[in-house]
Amino acid sequence: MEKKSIKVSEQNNGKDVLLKVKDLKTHFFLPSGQIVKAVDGVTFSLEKGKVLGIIGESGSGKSVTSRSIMRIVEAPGKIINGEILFKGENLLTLPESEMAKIRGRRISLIFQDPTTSFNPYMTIGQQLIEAYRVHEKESENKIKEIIAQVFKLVGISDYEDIVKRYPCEFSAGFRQRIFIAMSMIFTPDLLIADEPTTSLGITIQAEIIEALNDVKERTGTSVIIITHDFGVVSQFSDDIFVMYAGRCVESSPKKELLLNPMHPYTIGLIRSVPLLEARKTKRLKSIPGFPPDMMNLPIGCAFSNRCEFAQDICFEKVPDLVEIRPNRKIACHYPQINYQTNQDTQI
Amino acid sequence: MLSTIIRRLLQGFIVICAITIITFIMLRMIPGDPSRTMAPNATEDQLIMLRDQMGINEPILVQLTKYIRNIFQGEFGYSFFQRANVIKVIAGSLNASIVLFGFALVLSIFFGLLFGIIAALKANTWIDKLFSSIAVVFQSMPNYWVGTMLILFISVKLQLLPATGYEGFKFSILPGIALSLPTIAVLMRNVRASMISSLRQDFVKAAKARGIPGYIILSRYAFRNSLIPLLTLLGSQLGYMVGNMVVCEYVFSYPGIGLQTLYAILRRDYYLVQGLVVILSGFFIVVNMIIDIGYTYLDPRIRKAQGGL
Amino acid sequence: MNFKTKLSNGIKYLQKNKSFSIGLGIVLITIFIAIFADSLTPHVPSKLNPKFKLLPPFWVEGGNPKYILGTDAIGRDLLSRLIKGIQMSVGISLFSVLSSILIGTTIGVISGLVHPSWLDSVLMRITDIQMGFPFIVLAIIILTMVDPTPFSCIIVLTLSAWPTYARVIRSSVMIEKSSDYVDAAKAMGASRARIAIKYIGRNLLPTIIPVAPMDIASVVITESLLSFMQIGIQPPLISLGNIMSDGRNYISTHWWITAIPGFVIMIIVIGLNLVGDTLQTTFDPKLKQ
Repeated sequence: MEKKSIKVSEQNNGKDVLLKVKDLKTHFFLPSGQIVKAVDGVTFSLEKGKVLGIIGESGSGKSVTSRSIMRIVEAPGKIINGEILFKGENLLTLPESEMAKIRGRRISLIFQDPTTSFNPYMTIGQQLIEAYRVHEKESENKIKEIIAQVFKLVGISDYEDIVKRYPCEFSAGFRQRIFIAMSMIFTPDLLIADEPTTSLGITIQAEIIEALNDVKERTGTSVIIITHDFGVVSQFSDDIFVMYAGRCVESSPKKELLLNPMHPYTIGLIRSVPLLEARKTKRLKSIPGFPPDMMNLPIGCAFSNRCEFAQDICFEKVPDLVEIRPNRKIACHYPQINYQTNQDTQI
Repeated sequence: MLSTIIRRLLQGFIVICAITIITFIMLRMIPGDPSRTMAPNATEDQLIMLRDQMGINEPILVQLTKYIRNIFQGEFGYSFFQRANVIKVIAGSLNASIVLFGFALVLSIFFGLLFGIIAALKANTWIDKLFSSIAVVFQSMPNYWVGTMLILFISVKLQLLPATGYEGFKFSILPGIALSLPTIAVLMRNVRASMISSLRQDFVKAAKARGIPGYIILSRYAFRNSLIPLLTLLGSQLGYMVGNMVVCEYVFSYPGIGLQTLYAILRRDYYLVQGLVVILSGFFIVVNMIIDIGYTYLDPRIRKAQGGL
Repeated sequence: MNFKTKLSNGIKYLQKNKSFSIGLGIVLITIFIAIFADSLTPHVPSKLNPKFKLLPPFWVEGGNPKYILGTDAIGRDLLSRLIKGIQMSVGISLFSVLSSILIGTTIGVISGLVHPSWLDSVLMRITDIQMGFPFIVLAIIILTMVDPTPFSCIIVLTLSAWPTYARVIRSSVMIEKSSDYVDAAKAMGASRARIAIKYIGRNLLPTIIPVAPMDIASVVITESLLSFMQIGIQPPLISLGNIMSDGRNYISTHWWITAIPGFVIMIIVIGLNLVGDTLQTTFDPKLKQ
């Protein structure tokens, strides 16, 4: 089954690149005639077996980015520009029938709220078997063996009883585990987790992140984790990609970013995380102002009206994304190169 | 589950009793004496004898208790005018009504679902707007007028189908169409609304992300999820349809139980009216009960909450 | 959100809405006709004219431009009868709906506020009976019981419509009652009656307005149906329904007597439904897309 889709992977600095997104633009064309540029020129790449954390407030375009990769953006949204190279193949030019074969098999998407992401009228088993049979014809017994394996992967041992039950019979945290298991049924190359812990309680959050980490370690799947919570990416990612108003404002390896964030927005985000910053300033700071109104963005830098370092130019010109150091990109007229977080707060 | 059924049966029984008593009392309050209508030339003495035979000389309460006691023995009384057992009279016209109602119901469900699903899939396009406008028109047309216009165009001008009477299925087509139009409109609008909201659910998006093909998403995910609100709606629509059926039978002189009811009331045929009312409301109550039980069965969340079937 | 901001948001939304404007236009024209019916009729509606029996509308061959919509079997001008019929139908429907609102609100507020269990269960059973009992049968029984005057028609129609209002008012009172500010008022010692009055001031209109137009629409249809079946408004009074009923015998040869009044009812009902539809979506944010 895989022989067909495997191509020679693109070589990039000697590393194995799995996914490369180039200048992706997904805009929403509202009936009123307004255009919301939910994703407006996003570029990043992900190596095999690595974890990329995309972080931003709600409305920053992070979820639309994930849906664009899967090509399931809902009307009136439309991908209007860019390339999404997955194992060297541009997903945006694939015919829909070929794309359908990739969804759920080579790329899986985990949703935010496990209480709504299952079909309430089908048993867990029916949904898992359906998820398998959409892509492969296989006997029910063989599929059940696979289900037992993926359940073990996320730490569930007694699958026999669970598959006979309906989603409503399990807690939210457990459902999310099952959902992760379902996403792994074909051991996809890429797992996109869109706010997988946001709707869960604090202790369950940690368990789910651990389960994701186990899955990644044992299968070598690459992961994109989308969140608004620095706590999540600081535990579980290799690179971090900060989005604001549909654009990337800063991208960097995790350690560097946590030690030395440069974009005022990133600094603001880190300052608002208790674990990372509390001991230094004694006080949590929230970013002043409101998330951007996507229908009515400022003319210059989208963050300018909330930025404590903003100068005249910030209100006039959109800053370009510049690679100021290898692997470090930033889009800011006045990057805070010397800003340091408290080192001993690193996790 | 069993206790739910019993509770519903009990409620339905109380409602039928209430309806029976209300009609009984109201019928006796209608001015006019059925014995006089039956035998216009009889003398006063003959009328008294006739009324005794008919059992309408005693005080209302005595009549009522007797009537209810008889019902429990399966006796629904006699029709004064048709001089036959009420059950026989009703059975004679039931067939025509069942054909009419069944045909209208099939039309309503089929076209209501079809147009509703199409409108939901094409939401906010011209197709959707066209369908929605047609639905508003269908909903706004007086039923009896639609019937009259169908008679005018299809029967009189085009001479395609018979207008009145009942001698086979083709006599049911026009009244069936007239009866189904408003229900098609209501169903269509609700199917559209609930399909649109189902299609927005997370589990539909999740299914798409799993690569599940569109037709399965439509049937097994979106439609399945819209089914329960639609069932409830259908239950209440059936009540309107029974009322509209009476009207349609009047317009098309269609000899079903609706027309039977009208004549029975106008002739003060007490026991026949009584029997017909029990049949009409009993039908509605039973259907709604089936729907209630149906959706506890359809929704695993309710089923599990009630501790299994 | 209070009623004023709701209203001003609503008005902004309505101004953009085409189907609402069409509906409102129809409704306003209908009200205008109903109010000025007596000065609008070109002929005396009840005047017989043996010379011009069964004239077709003027655009049909044989029509007479003096009788724009033609005449009926005894030579009465149809347009004039139509105008008077609109007046009667609209009048009866409005009175029925107003009295339904009055009765329904009173019972709804009492039931929602005090909710004595007997009233609650009576309301529930009335709903059941109403749904299970074809209204038309009830209407025929009542109208054969009493003289079919406009007044008794209003009573029968009120009987069909009040429980709707009782139910919506009851449920919105119950929601309101459990809200925080009412708890706060209670904590400060406000009486039930005071809360009730405050409630009525705040929430009555938003609850009734979205329901009323569609309700009037269905009452208009029911009224015309009763008259059409000759158990509602009786001649010599004119209603849209009994004009059609007169024309029923001539349907194969003189279609316009039946077709035109029915068409007029349809237009009026479309207008009311369009207005009601929009109001419902405006007042109920859940339905707004």
